[in-house]
Amino acid sequence: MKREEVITEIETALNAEPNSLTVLRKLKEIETYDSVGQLSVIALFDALFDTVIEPKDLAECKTISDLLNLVKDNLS
Amino acid sequence: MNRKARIRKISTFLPEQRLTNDELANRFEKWTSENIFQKTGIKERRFSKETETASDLAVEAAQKIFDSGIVKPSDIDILVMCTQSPDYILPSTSCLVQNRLGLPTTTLTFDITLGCSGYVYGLSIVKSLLENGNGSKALFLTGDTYTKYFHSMDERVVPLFGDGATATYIELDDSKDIDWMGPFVYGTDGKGACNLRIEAGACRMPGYLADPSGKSDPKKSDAPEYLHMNGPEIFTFSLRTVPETLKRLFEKSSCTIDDIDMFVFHQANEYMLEVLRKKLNIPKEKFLIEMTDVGNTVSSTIPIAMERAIAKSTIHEGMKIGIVGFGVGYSWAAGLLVL
Repeated sequence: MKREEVITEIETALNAEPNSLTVLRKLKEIETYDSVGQLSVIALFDALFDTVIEPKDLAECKTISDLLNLVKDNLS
Repeated sequence: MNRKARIRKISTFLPEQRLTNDELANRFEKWTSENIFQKTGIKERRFSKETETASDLAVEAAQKIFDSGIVKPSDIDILVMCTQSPDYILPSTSCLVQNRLGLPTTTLTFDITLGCSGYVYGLSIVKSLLENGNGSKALFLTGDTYTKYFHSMDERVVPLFGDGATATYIELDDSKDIDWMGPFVYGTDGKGACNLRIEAGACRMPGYLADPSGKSDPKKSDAPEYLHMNGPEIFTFSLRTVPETLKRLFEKSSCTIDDIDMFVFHQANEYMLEVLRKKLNIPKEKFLIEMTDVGNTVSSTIPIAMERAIAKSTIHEGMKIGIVGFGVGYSWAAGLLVL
């Protein structure tokens, strides 16, 4: 899956405006990246890649790029 | 024909006091009533009075069974109560309930100390007791007052949990040559114990009343005397464990999703239930969600959901029901029921 496609999926999961997230966007600046938003990303990556992200790994992510790195083996 | 254990009636009891989303929005300024509902699927939850305990709730639920006329207290052979909020550290809460209900002193009685998985474990245990010559009529109770374990400002748990109790009457039945309950599959992983626990108050850490160091402070929400939950860890545990558990249940029972009329999972929170439903490809009409006005009532969630569905005729006699309990421990179990 392409990185751009995953970012679009993350936008949908977080109810963010289309094309509002870039790889460098800081997660703490995304209003909907709260406790439920984080669960949404875990659920999204499980649905897309059959991979359950460890919460401690998610907690260390600061940007969208960091989120993508969690599933980099699935990206083209 | 062999007599097999069968659920004949479920009753529930909820305490009167309610905590609404409007009240929570007043307490936690960053939230609105609407976004609490969007995040949790819960509009209100019940909580016990200060003097109201799990045995009080369970006795009320049990009394409803007796008031229905389906069985008399004097006919009960087995009483099992599942609770993680006992009246006392000892004796067992079920002993208190036996006395209050006036059950025979020959009743086989004990507590199960499980939470989210407790109803499924309890049904399996009662089935085994009944089908191995230990009686023919059993009362299985669930009851918890988790709200007594909270710090009032812990936003991770206060919106999610509620108090309640249920009573399930199970008896041996030979009207048909089928297994009304089972098979069951189980699981445990104590590595997850730290993710939903109350650290202080028992023998490992006595708590602030006995703490000479002064580190325990009942005013602080992170004090070890309160219930603490790591939501993301519980979520990922559920994502990993529930599908694998259902797979094992299907293998053991030679069933598929198509053979099950309704799934009743532990009603932890609506968002997680919906994620699991989609992951498992269970159609919406086969997946019960019934928690909007009660929240997470621990081992009572599955029987509360079933009782309400029976009352609405959403589920009825003859249906095959798949139940899955998962959470605190970590402990989990799944089973099949024929109503």
